[in-house]
Amino acid sequence: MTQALAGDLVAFNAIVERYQYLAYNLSLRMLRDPSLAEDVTQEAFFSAYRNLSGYRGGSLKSWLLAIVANRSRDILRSPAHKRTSSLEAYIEGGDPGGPWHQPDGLPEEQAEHAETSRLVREAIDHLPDDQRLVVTLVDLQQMDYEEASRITGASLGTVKSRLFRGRQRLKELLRPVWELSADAGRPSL
Amino acid sequence: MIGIFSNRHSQYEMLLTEHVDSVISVANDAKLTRHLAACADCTADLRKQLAVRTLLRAEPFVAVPRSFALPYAPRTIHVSEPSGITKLLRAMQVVTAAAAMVLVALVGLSVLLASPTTVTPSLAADSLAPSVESAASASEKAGGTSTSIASYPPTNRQSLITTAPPPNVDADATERVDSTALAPAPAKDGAIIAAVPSLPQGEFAPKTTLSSDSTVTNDRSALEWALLTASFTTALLALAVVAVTWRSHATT
Repeated sequence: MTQALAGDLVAFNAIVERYQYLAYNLSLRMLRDPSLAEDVTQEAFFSAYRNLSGYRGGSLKSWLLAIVANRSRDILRSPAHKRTSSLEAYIEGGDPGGPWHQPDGLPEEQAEHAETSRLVREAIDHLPDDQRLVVTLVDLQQMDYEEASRITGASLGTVKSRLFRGRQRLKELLRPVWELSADAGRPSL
Repeated sequence: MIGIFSNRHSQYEMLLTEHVDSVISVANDAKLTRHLAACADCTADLRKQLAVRTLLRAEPFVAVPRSFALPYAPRTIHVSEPSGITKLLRAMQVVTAAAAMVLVALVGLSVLLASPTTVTPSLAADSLAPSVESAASASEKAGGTSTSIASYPPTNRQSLITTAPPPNVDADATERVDSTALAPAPAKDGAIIAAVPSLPQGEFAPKTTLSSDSTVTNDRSALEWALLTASFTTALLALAVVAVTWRSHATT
């Protein structure tokens, strides 16, 4: 890490390999466009390397993901950005799984899993940007509140509030999932 | 539902969230447990929040489409501390701005406090003409050459107007003043004609008027001195800023 901070490209690329998974998934959840998410992730790592002198210690992961989150928010706020339906195209088009891989199992289980996953993705897509970012960080990427606070630049209270409201909204949006569970014989909520 | 919940149970929002994520303190957990025992809405809400969280955590991650390792080292941006000359420049800019503000304030103040002009606006050439002509006739009586004021050039005529007393002065006094002002010399040929060109041009300035309320003074007031000082300081500082900027550009 010290070498990476000193500008050693090989050492920095080792960090990239370590966090690119989280960075790409975060931008994908935010932007809902795989090719745009790819561009943003690459730009974020370039930007991080160029601004290594701006790193003030603390969690490197939070610092990198904050760059990704900020870049994604900039794009979402830009007037030129239009919500693309790339994910829906993935789902409804020739690639039903989209960028999300399907778990192994029986065909029926796979189908049910795919349907649940689609409904969850659609529900998350309907959240406001700020709530979606916090839900992605805490619920999908399983980070703690402090880390989410550092990445979003919001206070702990704001993170908790956004998380609560995001979950409340998801609870309503995921009604079809509860119904699906009831049809499958599982206890409904 | 959400609105009702927010109104009735907003104080438990954070606690519910913390409870779902298992980061709630012992004291708050006990408080929430007491509330949940008596509140069916919050209990149902807690169950659903837990279900949502479980569902989200089961969501698969997406595999990265490619490696994002940098193919080359981009130019780094090095943020360095400002140099001494930069700090000096910034300080001088601030001081210059402050001096400029003081200057503007002083100019504004001087405009507000400026004394009104001492020249009476109603004083017209026509009202003055008889007194000047009477002075001319007095001069003629004394043996001099009579010359009408109408024959003077406009500028000199204005000068005569300026040196006249206010209109409420009686005619004799006006004559006395005019004869004193315009014909002080022995009545010889061309006495008035000789006196008129010798009058200074632009006599509307308050310092040379004869009216009683004029402020004939050459002393600068304190405000004028402050104004001058501020102007001088601002000019010096502006020059210094330019010099330092030029030098810093030259060194870089």
